[in-house]
Amino acid sequence: MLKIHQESDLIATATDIRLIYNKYSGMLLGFISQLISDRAKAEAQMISIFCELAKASYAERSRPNIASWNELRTFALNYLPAHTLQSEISAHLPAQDQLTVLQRQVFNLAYYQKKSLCDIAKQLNQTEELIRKTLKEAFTVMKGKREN
Amino acid sequence: MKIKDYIESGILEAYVVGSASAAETQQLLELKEKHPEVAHALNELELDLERIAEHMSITPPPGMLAKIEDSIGELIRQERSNRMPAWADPSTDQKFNANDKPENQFIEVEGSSSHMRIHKAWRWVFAAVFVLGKIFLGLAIYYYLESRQAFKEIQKLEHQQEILKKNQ
Repeated sequence: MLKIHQESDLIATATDIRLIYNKYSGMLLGFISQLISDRAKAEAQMISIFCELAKASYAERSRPNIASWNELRTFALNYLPAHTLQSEISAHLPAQDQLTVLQRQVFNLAYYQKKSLCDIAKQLNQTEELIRKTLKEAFTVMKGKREN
Repeated sequence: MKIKDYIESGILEAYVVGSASAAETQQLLELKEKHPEVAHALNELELDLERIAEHMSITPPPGMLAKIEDSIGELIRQERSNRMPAWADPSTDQKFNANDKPENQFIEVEGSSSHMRIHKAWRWVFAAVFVLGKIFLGLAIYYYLESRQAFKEIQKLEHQQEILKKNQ
């Protein structure tokens, strides 16, 4: 008996993609919009990211491996074409006014560009230890603002 | 190494955003297995990241999901058109043989769903059929009432004609 699975697998994937879309689409568009200022291009990239997600899970014959926002962010960063991304990020972070310039720079380089601590340290001409500490402080400030 | 100091060092934040080195990542994953408080702190940071993303979220325009689904639909159509019949696939041992029994000459396809998927264009056809149905029903009722009225008029005239004949 020959069973044909491929198409039904893809249809199941489409259903999972819809669930991911319902949960994270706003966050993803907000994220991409910080990297690509042109809204139409950002939306087009968002569509292609969801399609890549469907293709990837279909190729692996598994459900989309996205269990959290962070996993989707990481996936998106791997697929966004580097030449379209802005080098300067000016995201309006939570507690923006309470963050120092360095905290904002370090967070943006790590969160939006996934740069290593070593690369950020070189770029900002600081020590790696200071960058790690600053990233931790940035998280603490943003969390503190939310809890207040 | 004190776990509390490790959690406070900032390595967890670097790992969550993807900035930790390979060695730091390896160490963190080992500690995560051994110390539930590390796993808990990582979960907290993941949630923090989600809340930050929520703060900066932008509602997508309506129709965005439909565009994504159309693109995935295109993938499904490509998959359908690319699918090779089993008898033509050299990787399978099954070969088409005209002398086989008829029941062996067909591919058995199991349909697990009781639902049917049809193209979206059909909704306009269904809507048109529905509207036309209502129009024809209205016309039928109208002409039925008209003909009944006419029939009554005829009966009335015939009755008057009979009375006139009798009077003559």
